[in-house]
Amino acid sequence: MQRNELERIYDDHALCAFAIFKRFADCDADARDLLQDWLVKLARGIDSLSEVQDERAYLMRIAYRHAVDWKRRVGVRKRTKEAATEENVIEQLFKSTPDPDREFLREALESSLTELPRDQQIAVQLRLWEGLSFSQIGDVIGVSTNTAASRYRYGIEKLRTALQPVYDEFTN
Amino acid sequence: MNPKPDFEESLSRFEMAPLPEDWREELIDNALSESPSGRIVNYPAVMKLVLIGVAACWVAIGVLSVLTPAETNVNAGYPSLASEEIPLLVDFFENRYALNPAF
Repeated sequence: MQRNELERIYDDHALCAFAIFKRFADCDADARDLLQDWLVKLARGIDSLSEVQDERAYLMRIAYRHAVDWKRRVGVRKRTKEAATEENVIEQLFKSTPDPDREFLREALESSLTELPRDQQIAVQLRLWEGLSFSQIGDVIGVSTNTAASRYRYGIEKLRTALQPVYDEFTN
Repeated sequence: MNPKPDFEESLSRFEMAPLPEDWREELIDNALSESPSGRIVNYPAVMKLVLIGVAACWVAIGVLSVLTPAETNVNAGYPSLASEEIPLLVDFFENRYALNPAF
């Protein structure tokens, strides 16, 4: 693969892929390694994406499968939450906002998001912040469209329950 | 009033934090510098099948060579005849029993 093509893929998709990797990895260092492996895989194995119909879903499917394989290989790491936090270089998933109420909602959202089961996190991530359809999400995580939709809805309902007090304060 | 779209929409307005700037060059450089030629995983599927086939043939040859009994030496355990003894033997059988007065 040509450098400019890989740069374009990085610019268009690396953030989304990293968000998926973060759902599997305990720390940013592991997620970064996964991102590196994903790029290596693309650089080696793909000459052109011109024949791919849905580039985002295709690349995220590769990312998701790579992360699943990695997780299966490494198993459950014996890393404490504190140690993982210390290794993190990206302090937050979402950009800060100047509005204090919204900032409070952002912090609560980041915390609540990590409490969801992994596939619900990914479904919510891909739907809300990447704008993928349920069909595309199903394609990425290897489930039917209906299953992808129900994972998203379960995730959203849990987020709604967890964030309701903060959200009510934010909207009032 | 259905609060669902509002809730989801307000969440969707959060923007993802960008990746560290120094990652881009480093990750892309590393990805491109990985040599694909030295690793079997990069071989095309046909090549892998051929390699697997050749390996399977060698294994089959090895297994067969172990299982096939070695050629038996039919003379094993019997004394071999010296060249001067052969005419005597031929003579004995041609003049069958004649040397033995009992017959």
